[in-house]
Amino acid sequence: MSSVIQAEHISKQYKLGFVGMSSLADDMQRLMAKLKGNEDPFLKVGEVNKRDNSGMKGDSKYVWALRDVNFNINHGEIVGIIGKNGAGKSTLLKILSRVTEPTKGKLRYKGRLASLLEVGTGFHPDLSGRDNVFLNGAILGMKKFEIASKLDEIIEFSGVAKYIDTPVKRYSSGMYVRLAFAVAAHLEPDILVIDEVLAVGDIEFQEKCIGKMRDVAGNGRTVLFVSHNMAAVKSLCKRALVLQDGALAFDGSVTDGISYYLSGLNASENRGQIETHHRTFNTGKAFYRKIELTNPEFVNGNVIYFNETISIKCEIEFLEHYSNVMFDVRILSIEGIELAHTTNAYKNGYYNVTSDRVYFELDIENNFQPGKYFLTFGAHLSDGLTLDYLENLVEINILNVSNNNSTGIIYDFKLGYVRPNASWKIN
Amino acid sequence: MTDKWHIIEKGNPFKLTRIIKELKEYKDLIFLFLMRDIKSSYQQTILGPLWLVIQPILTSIVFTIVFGNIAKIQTPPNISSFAFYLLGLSFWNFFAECFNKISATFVMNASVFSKVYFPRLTVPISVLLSGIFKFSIQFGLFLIVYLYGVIFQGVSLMPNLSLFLLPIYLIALALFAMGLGLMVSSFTTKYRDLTMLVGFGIQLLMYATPIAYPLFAIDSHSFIYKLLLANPLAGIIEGCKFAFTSNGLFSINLLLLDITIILLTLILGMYIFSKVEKRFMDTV
Repeated sequence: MSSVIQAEHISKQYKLGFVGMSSLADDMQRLMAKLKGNEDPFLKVGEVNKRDNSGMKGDSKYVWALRDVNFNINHGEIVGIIGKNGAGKSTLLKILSRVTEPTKGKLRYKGRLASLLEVGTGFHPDLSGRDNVFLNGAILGMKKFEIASKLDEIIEFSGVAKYIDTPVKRYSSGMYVRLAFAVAAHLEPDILVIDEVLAVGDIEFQEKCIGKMRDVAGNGRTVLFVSHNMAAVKSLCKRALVLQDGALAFDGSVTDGISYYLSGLNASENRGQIETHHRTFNTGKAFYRKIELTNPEFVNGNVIYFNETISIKCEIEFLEHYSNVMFDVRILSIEGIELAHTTNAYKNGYYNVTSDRVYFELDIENNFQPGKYFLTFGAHLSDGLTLDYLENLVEINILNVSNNNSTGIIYDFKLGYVRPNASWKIN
Repeated sequence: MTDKWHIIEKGNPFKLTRIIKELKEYKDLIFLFLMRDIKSSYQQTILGPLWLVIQPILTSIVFTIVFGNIAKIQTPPNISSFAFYLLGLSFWNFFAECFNKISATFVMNASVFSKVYFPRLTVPISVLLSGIFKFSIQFGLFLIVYLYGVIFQGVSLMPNLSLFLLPIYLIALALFAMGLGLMVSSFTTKYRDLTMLVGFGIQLLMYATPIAYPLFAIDSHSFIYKLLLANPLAGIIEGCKFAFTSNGLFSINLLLLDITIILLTLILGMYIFSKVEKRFMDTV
């Protein structure tokens, strides 16, 4: 395998704040340093780019959006670039697509490189769809005859044939992005750099887009794909680069990359430590002392894979022994709707408490749609008396990606809350 | 995949041959930008490209009234003063519009430039081409008025062989607009102060160029006269007028000097532009 992209020590520095007299003063200092043959004085003062407010904010006006990033991409590889907002993905993309240059370091690539940071770049509202196809194609680096030879294909793919001679400002936003994506999809570069342009159009068109990208990728082209959509990354890429605070934190298989990325998310949220203020209601006779979700990705990052069984361990202290106890767990939507309820009483009848500490383990089948949910925990008696009640104690995030290699499609948006098990027979 | 490596790093060297080679690869884009300009300019107007003709006619009328009738500035005898102003305006408008548009290259195209790479010079070049398109319409208008004067009003025809220099004058104006425009647009990516200047700067520059008056209206020994000639536009515009009227200043030495200044401006402009285009995204 020959390498087609090599990044060596790529770093990018940005200045914070407004451009004004102070930046003019800095420019003058830089100029003086250059005239004297010294190094740029501001390259030394930049600090690591941390966007959270964890008290890391220093006094420096300069910040490194990327710091010493090295990687090597071989011909025909499809690589996902993932990372939190602010990790440096966009900056890396901008450098790759030659929109800006690195402050330090070097990037080398072979062949024709096209980048899609946005669909419809350069579309002019007053021109017809057809004119815009040519204009946009040329901006993306196609020659006029190439566009002309693919024009019919592009128009057909976009599905706006009827309106192709109408100014695009009269298009619906859906038609607009479809036409724009159609142009982009018919680029034939050796290296394709794609930002999250997939998030366009309706489901049908999204699928068409993913299919098209798979074709592009399958044709021996090298693709760099930047996205927050883990499902798309997982289905398209084999390798992942994870950026963290401007540095390359992980480089390896896509499955490991995604779990590395996920484990770094939401590290500060509540994972079941119970404090007095969490108790919505309590009789003083029984207390949940410990509630733990044992799913590995949850321990690391409050997230649960799509379809992954939710495993819970609890410890409850009883000051009085009852013979008719029922423990329950409710799953609520972020709107506060109770979506599901489970209790030991449904299957096993009431529990007879014989010791001061009761432990239970619980596995809940998870067929929730991707998204955010809350877990509410309770302990009650058969006559309806509530002993302890912890409302919305734990927040979970069901991912739009599953941890097994199912062939199904997980859409990134919610249709309802639950995906019931259903068996389809289609002739 | 035997292609050679493309390298992206800070401070690629400025090479004219590389720039030209890259522009050739993107010549389709230049023409598509040109088409976009022409097609979109007069969308949803009733008079359409007729506006190209109306503007110089109205301006010439105003000039004839203000400078001819009120200020009583003499125009050359062998041309109507209306045609005289039209001539100057057609060349001036070409320069002014190109300069104005090119100096907004970065600011106007920030959203496209921030998403896709293509040689940024394609934009100013297409501006020049669309300027030439508009110029030819306005110049055509002048020719009609000029010939009308000759045929129907018996104005004696006084063109001369320097007419053949007109394309050179036009190219010189184009290159000067480009050179100045590139410089201004490069400076304005970070500091917008110059944008404030360009708008009325162009107007002031018009008065420093013999458009609304013939150069001979000024005492050739005065300081102002020498100052005017320092403006490369003055020599070029006088040359244009001389070609049609055989009246005015025509000096090969002056023209050569002007063209040298223009070429230096252009190269400096392209150099600064090529430095800025790689990092303007961070400051614009």
